[in-house]
Amino acid sequence: MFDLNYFMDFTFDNILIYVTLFFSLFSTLFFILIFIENGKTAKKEKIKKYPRISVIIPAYNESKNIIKTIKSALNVDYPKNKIEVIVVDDHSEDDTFIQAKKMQGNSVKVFTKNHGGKARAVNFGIKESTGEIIMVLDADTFPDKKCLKNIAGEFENPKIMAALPAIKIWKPKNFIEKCQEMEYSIMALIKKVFFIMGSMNCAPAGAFIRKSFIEKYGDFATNTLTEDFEMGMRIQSKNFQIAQSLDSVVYTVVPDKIKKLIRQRVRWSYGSLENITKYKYMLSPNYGDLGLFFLPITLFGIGLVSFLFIYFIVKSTYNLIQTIHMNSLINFDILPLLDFDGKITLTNLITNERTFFILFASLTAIIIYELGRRSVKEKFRIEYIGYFLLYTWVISLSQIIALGHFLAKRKPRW
Amino acid sequence: MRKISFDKYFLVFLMTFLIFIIGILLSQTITSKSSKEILKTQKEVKNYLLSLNLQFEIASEYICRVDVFDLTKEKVYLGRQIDVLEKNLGKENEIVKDLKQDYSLLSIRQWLLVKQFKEKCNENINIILFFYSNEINASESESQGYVLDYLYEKYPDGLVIYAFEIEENTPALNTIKAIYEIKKAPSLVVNERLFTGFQSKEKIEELLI
Repeated sequence: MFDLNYFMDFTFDNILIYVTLFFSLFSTLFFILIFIENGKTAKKEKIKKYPRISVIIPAYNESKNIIKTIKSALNVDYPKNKIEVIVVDDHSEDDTFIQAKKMQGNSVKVFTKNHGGKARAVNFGIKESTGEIIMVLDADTFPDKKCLKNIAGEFENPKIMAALPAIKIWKPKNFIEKCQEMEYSIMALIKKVFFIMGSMNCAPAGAFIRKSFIEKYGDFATNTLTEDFEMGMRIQSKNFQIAQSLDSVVYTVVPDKIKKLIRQRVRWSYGSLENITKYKYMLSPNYGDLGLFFLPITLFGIGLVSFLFIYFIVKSTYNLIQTIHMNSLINFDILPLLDFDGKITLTNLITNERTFFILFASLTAIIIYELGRRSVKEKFRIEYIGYFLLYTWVISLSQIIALGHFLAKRKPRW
Repeated sequence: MRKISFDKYFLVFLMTFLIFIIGILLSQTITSKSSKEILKTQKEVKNYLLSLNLQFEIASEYICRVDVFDLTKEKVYLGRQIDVLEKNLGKENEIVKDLKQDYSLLSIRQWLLVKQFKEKCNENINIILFFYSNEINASESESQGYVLDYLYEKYPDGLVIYAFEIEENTPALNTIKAIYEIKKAPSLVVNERLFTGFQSKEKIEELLI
């Protein structure tokens, strides 16, 4: 007894909910399936010869972290004659340069230059480097001991121009940091799937890049907010690949306050939009899965999330005003609050097919978290529920701000 | 030419689609289970209507012994069940439409009884007829409904309210509309006096005995 009329309740709300549910279900299922199918089998080639790696540390006002970062780069388990560390002080206002200078030695070079931003500092470092592989290490980021050894094998494949380690949060303490730990676990899985599908398009903190690519196709872009995203798109645009390794780990310090987090995410989302626009010709079947699926869902995702967020805010504001208005009619007497009967019944909740989809979508979300968490060996956190209820709002808000900036053609503050 | 994994997209699309179908079928199975409850509700309303008819016959003789507020409470409970059904099945559902019409007739029947009770037994009962619309001036009707709900809760032993959708087109209701000259919604008949447009809580309270 399939009653089509029952389903055909084409109100705006319903259509919106079905589109959202279908889209999120489709993409989560896609990521889960591809990961389960290929996550284990996508093995890198065995390493024949360790390439020389130049670790470039651009630093601006990092006097507290800089020595620790340099030490962590020197302490990795990698042939000592195959590694060099290049610190580029971007004319810090504190004593970053003096601190870094203390570490100068055979395999550590320290430079200072006129202030010009991170991308220029990295480019400066690349010019001074002698390695075949460049690792860009932010001053608040530390490679794990096995990081370099585990990732070097990826470069045996000549199509691979960059390789990304898994990023883990350095000792998360408060709720915001723990939420980011969960998010990074999920991101590890998502990035792995991007890689499996040959569509990884970003080269963020801790990325390893083949120097020959930079020499041939140019330095990091200095006119964008996210030069790492630009580099990723550039590698893809030349039909090369970026690998995502999960057994090679880089630790990073993340924003511990909502405001800082929002600012970081606005920058990321804005950068994504900026670079997808720059490389919009890649939104085509000529660029395979990236052009036909991964770039479009990124855009659609940002659009949908922004729309849903605004829609929800407008709607709940309206409902709030309505409730206040209604209650003002009865002088805010609490009598109606005491009257619960008959308004919500269990059948009323279950019979709604939306409930089923929402339950199913939550289940897939938990599976994604569990798979991601295991792949980077993080422990399960029960705060996951809070993550879903609160954290996602913060991320959505950043996307909207970024979209707003982008549409207004105004760069967000750094 | 780079690889495009149409097979994978197709597979996942199929799975997503399948899950959607399962979800819809599943919820319909549960609904059809609850549709038994619906039929029960429908039967209850019908039976109640019948029994109230009977009660009316009996009561007209012994009317002062009837507890009218008990009757209204039962009626209000049925009304809420119908509201739940309406939310689940939609306004256009035949069962819902049918039930709402029965309910409205039931209200009229009961109104007559209560009116008689008030006159014959010298009881202090306030009777309000409320004509609302979900189409024209819907927000005013909604506000009025909210105020009346509140008053009903506040005066459980002194106030009965009968709400009618102004667009409803049954001969009985049309007669009432004609008698009280109801032209637009919201309209209130408070103890036989007509008020058109939204009436504040204070104004209505002043009119109560």
